[in-house]
Parts: sequence; C-alpha cells; structure tokens
Amino acid sequence: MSSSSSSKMIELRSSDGETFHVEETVVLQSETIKQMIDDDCANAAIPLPNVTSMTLAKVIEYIKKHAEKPKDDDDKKVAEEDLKKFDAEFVKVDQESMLFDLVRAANYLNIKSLLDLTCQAVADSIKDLSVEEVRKKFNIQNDFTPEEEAKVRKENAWAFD
Amino acid sequence: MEDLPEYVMADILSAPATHGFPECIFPFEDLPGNVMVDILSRLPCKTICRCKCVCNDWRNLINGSYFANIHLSRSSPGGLMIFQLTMLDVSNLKWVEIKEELDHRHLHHDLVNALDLNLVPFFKNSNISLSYSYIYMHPGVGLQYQVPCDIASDMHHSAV
Repeated sequence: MSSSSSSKMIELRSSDGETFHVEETVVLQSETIKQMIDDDCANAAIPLPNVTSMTLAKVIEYIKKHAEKPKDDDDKKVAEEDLKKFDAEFVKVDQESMLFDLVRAANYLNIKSLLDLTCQAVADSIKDLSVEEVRKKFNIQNDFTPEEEAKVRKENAWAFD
Repeated sequence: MEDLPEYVMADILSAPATHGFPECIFPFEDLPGNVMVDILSRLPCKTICRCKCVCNDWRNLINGSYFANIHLSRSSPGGLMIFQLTMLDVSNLKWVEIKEELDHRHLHHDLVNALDLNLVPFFKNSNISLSYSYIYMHPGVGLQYQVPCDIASDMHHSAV
C-alpha cells in the first residue's frame, strides 16, 4: 500500500527450505527477527527451523496486513474495521492444526498481537468442551487416580452445573 | 468415593481410555508453558475450574502463582468471582461472575489475609451483599482472600 520500493528486503527460510522475501519494515513486527537484525545477523537468509513454509506464508500474510498504514483519519477508521474483519477471518482456518502451528510460530517469532489473536481463538475453541473433550484435543493423558479425579471434580463440582 | 454424586461417578467411569489419540490436533506437550497459561487465562472462570480436572499438569499450572498473575492482569470481564460460602465446603459455593471490568491496580495476587474491596470501584455501588460469608475466590488459587467484616458492613446492599 505504501511506497516501499526503497525498503530493505529480508530473506526468511522456513524449516522445509523455502525462502520468503519480506520488507524489513514489515518483518520488524517479529521481536525475534528484530533482535537478529539489530544484532546484524540478517545479512544472509534467516533460518526459521521451527516454522514450516505453509505456516510462514500465513504469518507473512498477517504481518503484511498489519503493516498497512492508513493515509488519513477517515481512512484510519475504515482500516481499523477492515483489520478486525481480517483478524476474524484469519483464525478461521480449514484445519485446526494450522491454528496450533500459528500459535507456536507467533510464540517463537514473538509477534505479540498474533499470539494474542491465536491464543484467544484456541481459548474460544475449548471453552465449551467437556473435560474429556479437552483431553482429547490436547492429547493429554488423564494421570489422576480415580480417587484423585473424584476429589478434584468434587472440589470443582460447581463448574460442572 | 462413596459420597460422590452418581452423575460424577458415571462421568468418570464412562470416560474412554485416555491414551493415544491419533486425531489429536493440539499436542499439549508441544506447547510452551507460558503459551498454555496464556490460553487458559482467557477462559471463563467456570471453564478454568473444569480445566483443573483435566490432569495434574493443568491443575498445577492453574494453581500456580504465574497463572494467578496473568489471570488477574487480564482486564476481560469475568476475571473475578465472588463466592457465597454457605457451608465450609467448596462444592457448595455459589458464584457470581463479575461482568464489568475491575480496576486491577488495587487487586493483589499475593497471599494476603484481607482484600480491601473499598478500593475496587466496581464494588462501590454494586448490588452484591458483602458480608463475612462472601469470599473472593480466584479459580486457580482457591479460597485466598476473605472480605473483612468491617469493610463489608459499609456495603450492606441487598443480597444477590
């Protein structure tokens, strides 16, 4: 949107070896990458061994959108609404595993707004689940003994109404 | 075990074996603890209490002071609950989830014996009767703050 042809390009390499070229001003939303640039470690492609190309492409889509600058105040309101809609659509992923990958990537790349957005989406997806459904979703072994589980459920019985 | 309500026992006994979920989407062990706390702290209080029943790790996570910190720092509604203690039995607590935002500057998560609710703007004109039988309860740390009687007497509004 903005005239950015002069902006420096940063090269990112995903875990599966794909490279992405992103403007420095955009990629600075990642505190992890910002630190690397500050430490002068971004002269070659930055390897991101924890992020697949599919996830990285989504992350770049997000930070690009969030880097857009409105021209004036009228534009600002429209842009804010537009961004809200974008965020809402962004977390509606076809595969839930993508949401999980985005949470991990946001945490690793230290992009606070993306971590907030994706963690909230995960929270929304579990808030109406039963204990058993939560265990299933997170692959959690029930390590309570039957007595312990009975006790902890009794202590929290009001939450099961 | 015998004194458990039948429905609770039925729920426990009917639970399928909890090992090996090939369809698992969010392997919990792959998530850093700080992220898990972040996610859990966004849940309504009732869900958080249910989540304490998931496994030992989650119970310990939610009972920890790190969780209490994050949870109290969230300004989202429902971050605070008031319980009416009808008997000294936690399962008999009634709960009121606060719908308005609180001024968290005055809420302390440290272990304290009393919480001065006068400092919390929300309670100034609240419709909640604060007497010795009301206890502020954080879903993670449990019965931690007891509302002192002298403060409560200034706020004798009608009972919930």
